[in-house]
Amino acid sequence: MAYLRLKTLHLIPVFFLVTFASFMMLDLLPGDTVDAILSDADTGEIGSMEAREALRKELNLDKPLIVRYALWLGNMVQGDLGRSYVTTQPVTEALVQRIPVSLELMIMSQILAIAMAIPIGIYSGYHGGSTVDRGISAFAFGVLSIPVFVAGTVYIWIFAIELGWLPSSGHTDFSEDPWGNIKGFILPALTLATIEFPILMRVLRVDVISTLQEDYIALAKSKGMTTWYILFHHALRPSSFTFVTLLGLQIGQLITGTVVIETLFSIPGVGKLLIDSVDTRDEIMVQGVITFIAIVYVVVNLLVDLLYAVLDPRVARRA
Amino acid sequence: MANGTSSPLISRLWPFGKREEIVSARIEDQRRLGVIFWLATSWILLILAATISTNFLPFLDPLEQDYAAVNDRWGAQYWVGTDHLGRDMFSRLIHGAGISFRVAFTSPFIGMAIGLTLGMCAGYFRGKVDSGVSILIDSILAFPNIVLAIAVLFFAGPTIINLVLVIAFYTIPQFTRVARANTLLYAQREFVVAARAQGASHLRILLRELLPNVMVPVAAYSLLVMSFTIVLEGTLSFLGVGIPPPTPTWGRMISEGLDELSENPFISMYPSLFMFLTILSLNLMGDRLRTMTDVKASSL
Amino acid sequence: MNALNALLSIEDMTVEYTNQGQRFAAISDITIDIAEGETLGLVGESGCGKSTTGRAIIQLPAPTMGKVTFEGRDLSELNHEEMRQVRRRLQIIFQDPVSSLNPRRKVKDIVAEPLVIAGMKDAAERERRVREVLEAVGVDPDTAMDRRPHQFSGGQCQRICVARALIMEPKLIVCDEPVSALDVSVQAQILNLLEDMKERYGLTLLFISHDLAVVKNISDRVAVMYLGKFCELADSARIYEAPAHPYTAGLMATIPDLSTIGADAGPALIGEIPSPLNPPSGCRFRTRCPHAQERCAAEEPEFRQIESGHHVACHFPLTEQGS
Repeated sequence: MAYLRLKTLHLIPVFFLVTFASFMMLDLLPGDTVDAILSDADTGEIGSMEAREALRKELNLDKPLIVRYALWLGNMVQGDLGRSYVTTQPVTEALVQRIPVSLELMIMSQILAIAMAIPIGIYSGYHGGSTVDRGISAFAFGVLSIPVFVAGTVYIWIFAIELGWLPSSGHTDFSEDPWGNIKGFILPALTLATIEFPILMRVLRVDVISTLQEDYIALAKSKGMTTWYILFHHALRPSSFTFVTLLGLQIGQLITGTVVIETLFSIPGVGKLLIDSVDTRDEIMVQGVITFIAIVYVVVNLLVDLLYAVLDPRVARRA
Repeated sequence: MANGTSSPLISRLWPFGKREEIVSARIEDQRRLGVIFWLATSWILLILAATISTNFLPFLDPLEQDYAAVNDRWGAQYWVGTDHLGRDMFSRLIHGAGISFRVAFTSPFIGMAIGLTLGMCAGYFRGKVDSGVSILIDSILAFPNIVLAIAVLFFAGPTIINLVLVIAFYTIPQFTRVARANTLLYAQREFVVAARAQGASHLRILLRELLPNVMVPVAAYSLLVMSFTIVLEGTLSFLGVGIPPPTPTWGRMISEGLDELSENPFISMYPSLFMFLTILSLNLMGDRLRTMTDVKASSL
Repeated sequence: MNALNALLSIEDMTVEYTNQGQRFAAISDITIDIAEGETLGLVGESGCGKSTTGRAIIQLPAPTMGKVTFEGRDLSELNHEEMRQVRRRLQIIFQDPVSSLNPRRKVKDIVAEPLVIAGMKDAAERERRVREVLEAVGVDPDTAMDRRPHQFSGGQCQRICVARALIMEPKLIVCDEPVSALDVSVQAQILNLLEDMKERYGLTLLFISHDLAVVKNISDRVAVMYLGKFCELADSARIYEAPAHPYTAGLMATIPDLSTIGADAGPALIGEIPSPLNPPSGCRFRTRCPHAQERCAAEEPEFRQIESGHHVACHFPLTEQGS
């Protein structure tokens, strides 16, 4: 398919651009790169002469830029993103530990968001134009104006501090304490879901309204089918594919949300790793995490585009 | 039941009612700005005026710590109380708005200038220019915004200029898209052909014929972009990667109050409320103006 | 035809477009002269290429092949600056007057724009010229100049468009369906205005319309176009009296008050216009022609002269059949 080839070809320059930008970040550091990396965040002490030379060699700083990039890229492709100069842990190892935690948060929040969006969206669309519908739309508009960290803070205040129902922070491994693990994820996932669901709900609402206006729905109704049967068999099916692509398109917001939520609720995921590394001025770790997130983002976006083309052939033809 | 619809079949079989009400309500909504729009505008102007007035009105020092009045509630001296370090929260809220508004009123304009140029050229010349611009925009969008912002502020330093620039960078794609869509629309109108028939240069057509038309929806859109920049700035401050302390920002005030939620929830809740109202106001204004100037709404 | 006193001549002009990767000719190989001071009517159904012809004459876009000669100069050979000079004497009026005026500019700026582009620096002189031309087209300058187009009716907007076209005192104006978007009562006013202006400014007009009734009174000669080619060209009186091409006759049958004039007028047109992407072989009209024969599919009819000044592209012209 021409569209697939076009999109995949498009990926190549974007991949190089993203990796090169990530690679170049170290060069943004003020002053000498080695000094900046080795200097202690608190004391400002610079490492020993041998350590400096070793690092200079490891980062290939004696070689020209393009060679350095090629070497870095080669290592990256083999899964080597360098190692932290604060914790001495390899970046890839840190990522591997953190990825499942972030994934669990994302998946839980999306399930919650869909669970909230479907009933509200269908109800709102079915009663399109009613007072309740207008109220729901106004509410969704308001929710869209809440930054994710504000929502999280308010939830912690209400559900953890005032009501004491759920923990405000802390994470336990699923293998150690499954219920504790899930309990720890409820508030964070709920926060993310709160931010995500209004858009899904709005799309579903509009789809339900426009589907209900189709002649064939009136026809189905006239044949004596129940309204709920019609809603679920005719209205929900075309909506669901807009829905799937929308979930994909929200990936950017989801990444932002995950970084914020992990920091707010102290969940040891990839986002928390990034912010912690910023706090400890762990340059190599920051660079590695950013590279990783950027590549994931590019690949997910490509997959979404392709999925979109598969679901709706018109997209492919338009390109 | 709906009566008198254009399709008698539907009106008889239409089981759900209210169809025309939806349509008529929508048309009516598009005409007026409405009370809510003006309330939102008032809030933004109020905060803006307060922010500017910090330069010449005797607000309390947002950094001064009064240990005799830690976690005070509202009163005569500290209008809305003090935080856990005895700092005046009202003054901090107003000063915090300063950073948000400085970013909100500068970044979108940088982004708009670049986005208008790119979008109008793409929409007017089309072909290769259009493809080039679209590759550029895709490249900007290849990084999730928060991650690039963190990276730039971390590696290049958390200064207000870096903050403004990295946020401006992310407003470019949005402005480019709106400018391009509107340029495509107007470039097909006959007044553009008429201008060419009079011998006008491309630059003259872009500036004199297209810009005044494209500018309107783009300007309306900029309110929504402002709200986006305030969220992004707030998020960076909240994560502790934005403007460093002691400068008060809403985002950091919220994060500083997290440990005090049981003692004094207002430290977090006041800036939360201010942020919400500001973002909501900008969204309301922007959404209303956008529907009025929408490509689809403006009939040919 | 006599090319000596032709103001504009078109030779073998072809305009091609690309639609979804497929190239097709919107107009192919047309040749015609417009004499100084005449009004040439160009008629055909929508999509026949008549508007494309008008646009190609003003080189927006320029024709793919062929030659457009205006005042004795081949327009394709002019450089950028020379073309800008020529454009001032070669103006266009569009179908939709509202869309032809920039909604964000004042009437005085819109009408003065050609002067500004031509480099006239003197603002007072520009204003004098704008007033003069607005008065000429019947728009009150005092009330109109500081308003914007949306404050005017369609007919007034068209008057403003005419004023803008006239301000550079052009030689030729391409009128692309100038009254189709207007109410019938206003149509006559604008047609009269164009006639008056033609006299006053010594204009030559190319009048494009899908409506034979509109073209009838204003034109000296009428050309009928079908699928990007001419099928008939004759003096206005002659073509209405005795149409030679079945297509012309068919078009006339669609006009109630004209259908009785043409004695041998065939039945009204039936069927759809074929796609220009894939035109029929031979005579392009044969798929809808009541008189089509085998020869029409095999051989493309030549655009030939059947009597003085009367050209037709048909193997079996109606005028010959009748005799």
